[in-house]
Amino acid sequence: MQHAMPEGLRALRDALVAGQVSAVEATRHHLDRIERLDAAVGAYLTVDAEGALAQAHAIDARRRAGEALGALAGVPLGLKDNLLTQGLRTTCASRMLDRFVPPCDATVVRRLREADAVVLGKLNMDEFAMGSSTENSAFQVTRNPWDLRRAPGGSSGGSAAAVAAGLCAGALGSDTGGSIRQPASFCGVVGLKPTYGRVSRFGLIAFASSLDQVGPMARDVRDTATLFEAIGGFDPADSTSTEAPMPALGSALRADGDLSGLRIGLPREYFPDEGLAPDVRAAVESAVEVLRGLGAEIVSVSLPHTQYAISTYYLIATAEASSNLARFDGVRYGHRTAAPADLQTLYARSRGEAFGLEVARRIMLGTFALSAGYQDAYYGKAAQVRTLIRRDFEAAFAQVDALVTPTSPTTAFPLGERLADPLQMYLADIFTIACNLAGLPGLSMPCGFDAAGLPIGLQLLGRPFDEAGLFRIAAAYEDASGTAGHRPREPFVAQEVPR
Amino acid sequence: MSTSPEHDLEPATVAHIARLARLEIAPEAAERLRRDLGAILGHIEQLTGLDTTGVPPTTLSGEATRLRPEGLRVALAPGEHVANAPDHEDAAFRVPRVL
Repeated sequence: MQHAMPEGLRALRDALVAGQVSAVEATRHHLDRIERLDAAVGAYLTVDAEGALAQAHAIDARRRAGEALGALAGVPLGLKDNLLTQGLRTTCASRMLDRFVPPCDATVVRRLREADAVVLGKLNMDEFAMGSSTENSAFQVTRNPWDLRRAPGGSSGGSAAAVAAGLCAGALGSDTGGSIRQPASFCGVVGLKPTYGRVSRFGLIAFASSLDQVGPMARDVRDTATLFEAIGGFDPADSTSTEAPMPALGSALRADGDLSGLRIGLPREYFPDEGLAPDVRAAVESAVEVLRGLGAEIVSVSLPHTQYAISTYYLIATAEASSNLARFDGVRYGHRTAAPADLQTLYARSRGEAFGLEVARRIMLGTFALSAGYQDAYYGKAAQVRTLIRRDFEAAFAQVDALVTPTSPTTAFPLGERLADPLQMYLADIFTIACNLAGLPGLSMPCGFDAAGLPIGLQLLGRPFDEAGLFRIAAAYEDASGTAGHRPREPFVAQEVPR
Repeated sequence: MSTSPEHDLEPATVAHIARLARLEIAPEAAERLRRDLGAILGHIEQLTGLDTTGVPPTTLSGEATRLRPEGLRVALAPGEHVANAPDHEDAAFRVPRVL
């Protein structure tokens, strides 16, 4: 290879356009890294080396022939394994779908292919996207490349770990209650949960349909914006997809960094006296000072129903999940128990054998919340509180243009630490969940490191459909703070257990 | 962050929910789920103290769901619909005898 392989999505794309690197070289480079490093990280469930190289060869041939190519031509990407890929196994990290080969691509996957991106493979996740550590995968553990003893976050933990470890130039994840932002925070990368309706959900295996969004994850803000532009926009195949045009991000991403005239809110409830790690608080407060220095006016605001967000979320998300996952009945696709005596046994035993404990827990909770005698008190109540949470944000956004918070109360926790107590795992989602309930865009980006050297995430929340506003603030902060471009040292190792 | 006392679920309630969910659960998992669900429902009890009189529910967070005109379209080629089936005969899914 004449040139070193550029790090980052846009740098690689530019080198591909300039002919300094071929799509085959870029793809081989990433496949070699996966071969060498992913045994330690465990990010990929399926690597499609043959398919990726075939795609890359075709792109190089078209470039040599002088054909017009897509915006991501030859850029190798990874996909969370709940996005359908035609002809390529898609498991949702569940035994239920361990041999499922989709007949079509998700809309976001089709758009990436139309942009001539190369699909390297499918990334690990919590089973059916239910979890905050990727430990609920039925197949393997994914380790945080900053410290292999720790969780990468979840549920898009494979996506975050693969981006952080340089096992792809960018990735897609999905976010129902923080599943893009929290792993982005834990792994020191950038992740965007777009506004509900901004990105098509067609071909995303549904968890909670009123909350799920697909979004991009990459090494820096502008790489993330580039992926977002490739996947977003109206899709007639998703009835909740918006016809509002995608924002033009060019001016939002320009390098002048001036934020004067912007009002940025700090929600008091997101900086609690208890339960927020001191290093996280300090890093976020430093980031706020950087934003102030760039000209933004910093305003304290209140989101008074924040304390109800987790209860509300775990009723609505599980109710929707119990309904969505009813389709896995062992008849048309998915696992079927051996020799069932009758149809009811076929349903119940197939599901009981193939769903993991967390999925069973959530199906049970959702079924309970929707059952006769309880629906009004649980699901109905939660739907009302959701309105109050949404109104909190509407009132805040009447005063400010965006909100800044920590993404997670802590940095990456040790693997296994929270598995025994699901409620404690749920409670740690406190800063990411309300965003989904209100349908807002949210972005997580690195803002420093804790004393153990683990990345800390800064969360930006915006008005519906104002992804451009978030990217403007994020790019200005990234340029001013120099927080992009930090990578975990190779080979990835487990750090000493702090005592 | 405080958690409320556990909400005590009867084993029979757990069995009833599992039946509704068409989910066969081993006895040890049922006891684990009974305790976990009790703890989670205990936390969720906080919502009952919040006055929501007259507050409309939010069920979808974006715009209203758009409807498309009805019409025939080909979603899958012949045979594709059974390609992932655990058991099928020609173009039909095979299940145990129902009647």
